[in-house]
Amino acid sequence: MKIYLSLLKKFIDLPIEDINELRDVFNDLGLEVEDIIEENKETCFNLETLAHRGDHLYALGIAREFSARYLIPVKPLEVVSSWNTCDLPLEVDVQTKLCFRYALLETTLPKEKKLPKEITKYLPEDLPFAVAILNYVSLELGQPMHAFDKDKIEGNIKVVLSDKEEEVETIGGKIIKVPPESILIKDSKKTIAVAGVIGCVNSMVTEQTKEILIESATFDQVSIRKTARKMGISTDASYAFERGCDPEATLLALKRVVALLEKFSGRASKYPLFYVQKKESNPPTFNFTLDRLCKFLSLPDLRAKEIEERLEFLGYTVEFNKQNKEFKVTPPSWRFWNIQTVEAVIEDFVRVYGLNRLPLTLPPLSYEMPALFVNETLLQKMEKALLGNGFFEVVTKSYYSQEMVNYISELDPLAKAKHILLKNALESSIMKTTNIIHMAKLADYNFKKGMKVFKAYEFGRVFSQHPMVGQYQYEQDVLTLAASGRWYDYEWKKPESREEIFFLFKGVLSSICQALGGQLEITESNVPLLHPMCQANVFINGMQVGFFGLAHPQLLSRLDIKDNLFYAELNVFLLSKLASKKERDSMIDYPSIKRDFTFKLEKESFAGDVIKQILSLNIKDLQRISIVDSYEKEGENFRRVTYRLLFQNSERTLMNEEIDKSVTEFLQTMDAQFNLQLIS
Amino acid sequence: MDVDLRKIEEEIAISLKQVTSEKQLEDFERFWLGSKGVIKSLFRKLSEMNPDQKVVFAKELNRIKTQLDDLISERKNNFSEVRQKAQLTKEFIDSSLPEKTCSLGNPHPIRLVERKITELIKPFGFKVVEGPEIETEYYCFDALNIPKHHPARDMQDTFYTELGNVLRTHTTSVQSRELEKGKLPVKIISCGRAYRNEADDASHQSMFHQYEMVWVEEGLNLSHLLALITYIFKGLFSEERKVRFVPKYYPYTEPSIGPQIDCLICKGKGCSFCKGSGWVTVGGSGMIHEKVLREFNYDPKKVSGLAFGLGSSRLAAQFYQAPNLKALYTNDMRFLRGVL
Repeated sequence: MKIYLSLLKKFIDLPIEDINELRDVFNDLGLEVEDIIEENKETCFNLETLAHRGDHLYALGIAREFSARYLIPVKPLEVVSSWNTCDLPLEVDVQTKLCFRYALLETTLPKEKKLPKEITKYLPEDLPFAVAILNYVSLELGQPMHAFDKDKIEGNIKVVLSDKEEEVETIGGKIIKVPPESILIKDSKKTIAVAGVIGCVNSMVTEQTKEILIESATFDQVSIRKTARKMGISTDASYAFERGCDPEATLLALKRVVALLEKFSGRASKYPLFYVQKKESNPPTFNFTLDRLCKFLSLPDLRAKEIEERLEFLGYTVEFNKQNKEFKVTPPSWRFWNIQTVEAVIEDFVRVYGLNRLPLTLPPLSYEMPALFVNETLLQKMEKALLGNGFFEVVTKSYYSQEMVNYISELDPLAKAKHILLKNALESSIMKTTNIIHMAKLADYNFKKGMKVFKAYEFGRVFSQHPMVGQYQYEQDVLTLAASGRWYDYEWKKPESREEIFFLFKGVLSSICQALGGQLEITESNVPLLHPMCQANVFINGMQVGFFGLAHPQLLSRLDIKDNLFYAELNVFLLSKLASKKERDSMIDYPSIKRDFTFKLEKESFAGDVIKQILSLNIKDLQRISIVDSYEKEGENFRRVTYRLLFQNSERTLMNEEIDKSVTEFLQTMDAQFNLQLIS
Repeated sequence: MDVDLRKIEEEIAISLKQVTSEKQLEDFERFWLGSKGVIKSLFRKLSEMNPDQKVVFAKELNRIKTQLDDLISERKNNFSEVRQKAQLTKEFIDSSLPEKTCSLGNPHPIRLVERKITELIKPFGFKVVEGPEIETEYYCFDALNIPKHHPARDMQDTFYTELGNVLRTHTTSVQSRELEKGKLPVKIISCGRAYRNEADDASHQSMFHQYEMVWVEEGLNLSHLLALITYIFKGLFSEERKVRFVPKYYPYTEPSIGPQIDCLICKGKGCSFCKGSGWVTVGGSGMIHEKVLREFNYDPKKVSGLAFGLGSSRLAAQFYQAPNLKALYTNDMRFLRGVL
């Protein structure tokens, strides 16, 4: 919104000359200065006004703010004090309750249609005379008005609420559809204006116009907003009505127009006028005590007189009961729209008093610290493992495109039904059910920027709906990890192999488990988006918390990504259920005995399963089993996996002979029960 | 018995000179000092000597033995040193070659900023709560005094799912849920993603992060709110930073306040970043609207609430000198690695 300094000065004697100081005051009053420009040799402030303040859109409204800030009265405006009105020679029927006040004034335009520079300097060039006057008054008083060419009006006028869509040709020559339930101004044959929004070309004023009908009205702000939005246009008029215009300005603005017409073109003998007030204004009143205000602002010494004065300068009617120190205030007509609570009145007072004059008093500290948010606790524990291994936290979008859904569905046909669609999204329109797509694309993006290492994690959400029911949409917190490219940061010629990285990645998961006081276990999995031969479910302390593996090559190929991607997804809720207290391993002082065994395993089997089998035998004094080697000899169709068994007793030193005996039994059982062949 | 100890000594010296390896020294030691060695055999000859001869011979022989011990010991040490040195040389590592390392990772700048703020206001007893990102219109709008015709409800501004839910446009929806629980005091932090239906560009994102705190209790006033915000800003930015407040409008607060800090770029002198004002608005705040309190059956005559929220993504962009907002969401590792 533009305000010319000289126009503002017509309403108030500003006590400040310095432009920068003036800028600060504007900002302090809630009128944010976007910039200060020189236009037509005039200093002009471009303001962003508060969204609900229709009264900040014109000079008088802004002047009132300065008036209440500096306790200087606003200068009176020259309006016609008495005008000789008569009935308008056509009928006007206001049929809708959404038009609260409606006035129509008939006047003849002067032969010499020229306005002085003192008015035109604020307006665009080449405006028709009538339009220029109305626009100027609107700059002063904020009342949007419209002029009809009287010769183009056929029959009588009605103000109606439409019940069906219709097309109009607006001033400016555009054909636009007007939605139903819009307020329309019609004559007996046609629609001549969309009320509060825009006039139609069939009644517009031109240079040839001799007589005009000036419309000044108050329309319901919600209705105007809806109509303007659906028509896809925003005019000065609709903008003002949406924010609420002053009902009392309906007639005041016409009086101002008449005063200007009389000043520049002579007095008319009579002014044919139609005016109706469909809705009575019932001004609200608000009561509050001085004590309440003082406490609210921490201003114990605030005087009632100052409160009274400032509110009165803002246009309020104020009564102060000295006995019970209570205020009774009635807001001015231009604030009926948005003063609905005592706090709104207080807000008005504080704004003109000066927010930055209020004292700063910290509220009391708490002696009871609430527990840390469980997810944050969890994250901080896992972070050590992640950051130490070179993982960076990323934040990816919560949605992707339909194309991504198609790629996913190729591997997981059931996935399509689980996706949630955003029905009005401009671009990506599907909520993600997995983070693998974003991570893969992110890796690729970073490699194109010259990175060699990509290791990222995200603490975010995935979204899903029940595929069968389709009515239940839910979201869950997940921790996703991804790694691609090299593992280490150096440029050594030979990068880590795929297998090396796989186990380094698994190592990170293991570190996470340790941090949570748990033990990582792996089982076979069948996650469609992962490489069928390089994936596993992740269990911690017997509970499945997620999965990890290599992204499916087909998925990567669809995404046009050449590098491998290692990916893991862990359910945060389940992770948070894990015991946070780790039991300390008992320390045994007696020496241990180690034995290594190499078994023959199928190439595509899980070596970890053998550990479970061995553990199931409950071998006496067996403390730990670990895999120490896995080797495939050329020409053999199996692999050799070496297990190290560690025996230790907490009460005595074990003898080799007793271990030998245990081992013999164990090997026999492994062969008999699990068909496991010992190689060495 | 004629044993020329001087000759023995000479022989020892000559043969020691010929010892060039540890093995040869071993043999030398065995030959001279071993149980069947020369010195031992000479000691055995003492029994054949008369007492006078014995004393002299023994004394001399002991001297030679001691000397020989010392020489051998010295040679052993030399050999050991040489051996050690050779071994050490073999173990040379060129430390100028590149190290095998992972850069230490980092939490995301947005998370770092959120943690900073949370640390600052922890002493006031705030707890972090979360809520759904797919929300109902009620919690996102209606409960917060944002009526149906409000611009925020427009299809243009809000994402709608097929079932008529919305992606929350602010984290204030979490406030609604907490207030609904009806348990005072309500002292919460809600932070996380929010969504607006607009095209992504350098300074606007359809998905962004917000950080909000809400406090509802008896006895809170506007002065508390301004002080708390000032305390947070000074803790976040620095004590020297100037803070001021301007009036704003939000449907769920009244009065509504826009906190500002002096522009970091021009230090308050005015520039394009701050539109010449020398001040930058950081977030929004206000006293919780009476209608919102009533919606959840709180009596606004007894209880009042403060609310303060800011764009944690914008703040993170400023703090960590991201070129623009978009850079936080492109997850460029070159930027993330530079975050300290």
